[in-house]
Amino acid sequence: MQGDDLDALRESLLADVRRIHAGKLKVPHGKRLDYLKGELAKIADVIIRDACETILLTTEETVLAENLPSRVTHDTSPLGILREAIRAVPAVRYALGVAGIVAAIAIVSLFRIDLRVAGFGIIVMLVFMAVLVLFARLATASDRSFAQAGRFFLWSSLVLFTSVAALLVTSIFFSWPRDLGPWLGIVQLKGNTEKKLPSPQPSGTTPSPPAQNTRDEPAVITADPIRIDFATRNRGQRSGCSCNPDNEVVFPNGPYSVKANEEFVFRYDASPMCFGQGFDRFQGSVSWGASSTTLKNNNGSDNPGIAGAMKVKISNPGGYNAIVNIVVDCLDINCRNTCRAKGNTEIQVK
Amino acid sequence: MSPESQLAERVRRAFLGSRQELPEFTFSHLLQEVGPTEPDELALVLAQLTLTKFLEKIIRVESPESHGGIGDFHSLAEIPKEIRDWRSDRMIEVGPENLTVIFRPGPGALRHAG
Repeated sequence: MQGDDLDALRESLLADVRRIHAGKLKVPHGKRLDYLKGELAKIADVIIRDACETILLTTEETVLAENLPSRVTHDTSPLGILREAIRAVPAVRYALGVAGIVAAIAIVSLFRIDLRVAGFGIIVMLVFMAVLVLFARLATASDRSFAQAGRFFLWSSLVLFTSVAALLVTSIFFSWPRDLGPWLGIVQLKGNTEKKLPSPQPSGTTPSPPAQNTRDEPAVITADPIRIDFATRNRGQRSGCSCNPDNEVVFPNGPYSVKANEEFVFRYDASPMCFGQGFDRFQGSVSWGASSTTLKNNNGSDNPGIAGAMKVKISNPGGYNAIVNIVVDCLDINCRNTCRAKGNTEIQVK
Repeated sequence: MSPESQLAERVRRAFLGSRQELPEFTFSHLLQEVGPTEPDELALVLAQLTLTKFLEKIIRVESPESHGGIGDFHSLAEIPKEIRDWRSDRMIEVGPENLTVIFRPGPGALRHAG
């Protein structure tokens, strides 16, 4: 077929397809097959008749008929020129891929996502596209060496994917090998309950106000550690690493009577627990009931240690019990001893 | 090589390069396989390849319930008005919506492959 012949054939074919398709829609459903047979039989050119039959009997015939070009012309729009170029030189189809990526960037900018994120996403997308191409080639590969390499890659990818998926599940639900709970906004609360934080909280603080609080469960809105603003009970050092029998956590300004949603300073003191000696392996927490605040060692930071102060705000009125638990290793030269201190105080919130 | 010849060559490659012993493609599948091209252009190329016996065109009647094939015919004229759907064990009235055009290698392609 020469170019002009082909254009003429296409013109004729399109005219027949449109005519028969339009006529078919006017014919009752039960008579459409006979109509098609009759109309196709009228077409003298065997090639046009065959092509017409193919198009009209294709499942998506309606779509095809509607999408067929109304006439065979050379579209001068950028997309039309690109389509013509692809038809002439199939390798140009990759330009369409590039245009697709540019379009994707435009769409991403509409989503108001950082373009750096989009850029990184495109790189990852390209990697996955390469993997897809490899898989597609594998499905039809006749070259044995390529098929073997592809199969190896396929199984490696499968193992990698399932391993990562399994580790992600254990990381999220069992905090192993990495604790991804905080990353997802899920935190571990006292009593093995997990609740989602509504907003970022200060380091070491894990208050978790439930949506519907009861009077027994204070909603601690904030528990921000501040610099110690009181004289602790620590009265000098004593050698050794024994635990002080005075292992009670006291609350210098407790018990507390405060107003709901009003900040107050919560102070606690377990400073004598090591007889003034050094300590490490500090573990401490304040339980407010439904939520808790993790305490941190006071080495250089503003976070409280075995004695400290925090600005606390509670949203729900009621009478509550705050419990402080501290465990440390008291130290001396060549000596280490695990010691505990505990105390509780009442908080009346009006 | 003209664009039509290139398209015909891509169609040939789709059939000869397939790993299936007797590959079968619907028109839609071929559009995807050899694209990008216009449906009318591909239909003309397929008609030519059918005429030269490189391809064999089958019109398959499909069960309206399971969409599995229940009868193969070489032309629309051969298709009866009613046919027994052995998949659902009942007679059905054949309509254009039950028909699918399938292309598979003809004697010319098999000689080429052999």
